[in-house]
Amino acid sequence: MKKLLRPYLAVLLMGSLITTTSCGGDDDPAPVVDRETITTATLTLEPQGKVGSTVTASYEDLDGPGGNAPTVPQMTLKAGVTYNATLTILNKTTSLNSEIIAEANDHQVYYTATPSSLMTVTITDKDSQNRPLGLTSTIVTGNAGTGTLNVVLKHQPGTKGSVTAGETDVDAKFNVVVQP
Amino acid sequence: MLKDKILRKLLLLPLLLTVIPVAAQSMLPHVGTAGTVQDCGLTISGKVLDHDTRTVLPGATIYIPQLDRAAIADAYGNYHFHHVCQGTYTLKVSFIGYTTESYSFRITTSSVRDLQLHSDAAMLRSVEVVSTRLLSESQATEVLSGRELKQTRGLSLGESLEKLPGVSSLQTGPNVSKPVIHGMSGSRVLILNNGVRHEAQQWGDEHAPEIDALAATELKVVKGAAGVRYGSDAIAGTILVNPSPMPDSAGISGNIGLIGNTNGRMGTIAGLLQGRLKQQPISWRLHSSLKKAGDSHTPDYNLKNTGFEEQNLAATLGYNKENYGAEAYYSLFHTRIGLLSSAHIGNTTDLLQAIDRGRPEQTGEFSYTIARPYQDVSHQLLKLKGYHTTGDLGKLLFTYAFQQNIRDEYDKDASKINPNAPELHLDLMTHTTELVWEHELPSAISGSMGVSTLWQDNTYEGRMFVPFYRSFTAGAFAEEKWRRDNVQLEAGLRYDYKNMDVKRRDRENNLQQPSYSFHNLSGSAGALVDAGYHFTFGANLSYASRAPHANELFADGIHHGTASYEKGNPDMVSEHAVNVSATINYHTNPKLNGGISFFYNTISNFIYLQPDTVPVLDIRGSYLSYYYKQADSRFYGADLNLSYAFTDKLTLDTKATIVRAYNFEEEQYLPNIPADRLNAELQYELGELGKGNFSDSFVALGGLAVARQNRSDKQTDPYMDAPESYLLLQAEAGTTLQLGRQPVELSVSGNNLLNTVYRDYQNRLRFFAAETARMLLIRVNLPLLFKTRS
Repeated sequence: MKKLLRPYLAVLLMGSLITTTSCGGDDDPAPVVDRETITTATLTLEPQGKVGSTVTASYEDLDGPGGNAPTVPQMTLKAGVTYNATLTILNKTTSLNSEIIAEANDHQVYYTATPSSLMTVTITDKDSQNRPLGLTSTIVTGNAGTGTLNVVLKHQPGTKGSVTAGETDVDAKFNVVVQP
Repeated sequence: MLKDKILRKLLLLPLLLTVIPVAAQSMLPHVGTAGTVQDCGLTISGKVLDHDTRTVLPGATIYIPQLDRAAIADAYGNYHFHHVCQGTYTLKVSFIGYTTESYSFRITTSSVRDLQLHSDAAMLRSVEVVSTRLLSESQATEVLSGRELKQTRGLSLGESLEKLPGVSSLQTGPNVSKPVIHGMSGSRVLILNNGVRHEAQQWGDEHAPEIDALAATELKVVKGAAGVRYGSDAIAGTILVNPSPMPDSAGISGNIGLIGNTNGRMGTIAGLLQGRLKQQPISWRLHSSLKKAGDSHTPDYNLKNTGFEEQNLAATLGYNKENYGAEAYYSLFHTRIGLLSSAHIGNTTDLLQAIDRGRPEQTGEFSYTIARPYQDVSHQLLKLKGYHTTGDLGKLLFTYAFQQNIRDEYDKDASKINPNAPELHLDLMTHTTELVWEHELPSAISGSMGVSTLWQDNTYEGRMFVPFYRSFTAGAFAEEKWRRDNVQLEAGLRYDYKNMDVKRRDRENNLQQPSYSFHNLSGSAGALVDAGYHFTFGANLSYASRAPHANELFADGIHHGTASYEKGNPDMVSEHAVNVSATINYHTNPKLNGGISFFYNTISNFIYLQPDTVPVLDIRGSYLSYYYKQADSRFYGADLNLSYAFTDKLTLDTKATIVRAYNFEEEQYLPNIPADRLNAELQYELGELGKGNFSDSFVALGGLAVARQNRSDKQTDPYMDAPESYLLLQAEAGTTLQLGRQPVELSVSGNNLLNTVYRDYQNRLRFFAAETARMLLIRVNLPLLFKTRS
């Protein structure tokens, strides 16, 4: 038996030698490349006329899925005011708005206020086929109250127009307080 | 009288199919070579009889493999073996028109044993299926070979195995299917491809085995823990994919097969060429197959991006002398599989909308295009094997194998950073060695013992799902069988040591290098009793333990296909399974044959994915979250296999499977367990047609009924209830056409003939789309006969 085991061990050792030397398996895993290119959705609300100050809120998830959950930001707005709203989609600090505008025919932002009496959102920018895009809009606040504004960016090649179609790129929620 | 004759040739639909073990005729020159064996003076003698009519069978051949001696029954059906020593002997009896049967006897004094043979209906059908009296193991075993296997040609390995009771498949759309035994799959089901442990990324639910089913002539499934022989992690069972034996006579032969599928417009061509040299004991074989399929469709719509293509190549070179031999085998498997694009979704809201929609968002027209998302997988296997006989007692076998599995997954949207690279690239290299001594001792004991090693290196690029790891496993095992008269006892023991060194980056990109050691033990004990009257009873108790896999420890990422987030647990321990099974077989009867097997599998620390009540949130919204969890669980159920021959031409085949899986820590059922199923098929043999131009003709009509999985709730399936039960109609027909000297095998089989709209619980894409519509598989097989130079 001893005689038989000897070649077995030799082959075994040879096998491990080949693998340890040839395949470069000693490398370490590369640092995780951030393929979730979207980390942040920032809403900037600029009041029309001289009725208050500009409000900015960011929905942010810097560590990607599975880490810390994004925190829900709060916006405090004045009742009965018309705001010029700009949505900026960021990869950390880099704006991705120009990329979204370049693919405007496949993207749309949907705004949903709860309760609906909280505010009215009207999209002001268009794609090349004159369909809404949603990176800029006007927001008219209603009476005083609290609620949420949901901002959903959809990737919708060929299916633009309904919030239920396509894939979700951003699903951000903002808490809103409308003060008298 | 004629009727009598027909009756004698009644179909004996075998439950346990084994290839005819020995061509006894070739052993005849050994008759009378006394002197080369021990002369102990005992005599074994008796008559060879027809089981039904009790008439003697002059000319029957009786062969004793232990002595390598043969005898022929004389004009009165009598046979004799003189100068035999004490011991246990197997008498293999064969006679033209009868099933070859094996009888084992323990001989202490000179004995008279009458041997009864059953007429061989299988031979009349020219199908190489024969039943033997004693099974080889006490565990429930199913085999797909001969015509049954041919009827699955064109299907994937997972789909082919679904024909067997106790086996189902976990599917991801129409073109990814992986085998499930008794409700378990992945790393709990070992696949032996041509004798080598198939090592790939088998943990993934949407990872189909990288094996060309067309290269196999036998698919065998050992159900229940089979850890002793193949590795302690085979908790659910083992699948053996076996090619035909290498040619043993000089000459060249071949085969060309063409397969077409109407659903997906698939075309397959497979070719085999093999031969053996005249001067040297060198044999060779080349096998290749190419497949190409476009989009499948359901009765109502096209399943966009579900085409696939596959290229396979295998080459074998063998050298066989009487006492030693060697074999080299190489195979390459490559596939590119499109995944239903509408199943690639952003978040849980999208999933709910997809379920609400009830059909894929984008269907489009039929196309062969494979676009994103898709998988590109290649698997290489190199096997070197050598053997040497060890006297009269047995054989020593050494096998070395190298495997490389490269898996590239392309997401629906290309990365903006590197648009041509896969989002997930996995590279797994495996070296395995095995040294086994197979032996047959004179004291009625036979078995095998050996040592094996497995060395693995896994790396990835792109998205992290499983970490870098290296693992080394060393195992030692022994299993022995003891057979006396009508009882066989068996026992086995195995020990495995596994070491795993992991390298991974945490969320802050710091390198972590945890290391694991596992000691796993497996054992089994079984008994097999031939109770006479065509009954055999088998019982088996086995224990197996499985070390957690790298994904169960360290998975941390999103499955876009199901909008779910999977998280491993680095503190997992091995799971331990105790499996009790019992099998009853009623075999080699003229009309009714069948078998039923029961199993009860208790698994402590069973590892599974538990849905979490708190979803994972990120900028895209919420993901259904799952985490790997261990809980004491039990799996139990039964498999039934019955056939009834109404006449020698008309046979009804029935197969049924029931599996229950329960987590008794949480008192809830486990997810993804196959629903109860029943398959019945009526076969009619037409035999010869026309002026003998058509032979082996048959038609078959059957149905598959799958119940609703009622053991599913909000805990196991939070987003969608289990789909309704369904009934599918299937039919087959085949014949062999003689074109000059060339026999051409033609067959057609149809599935889902009524175009039923249905969904299957075990299809991961059931959230998004219905199952495929009616499909016709058309096969042409042309054996190539070459004139041997004489």
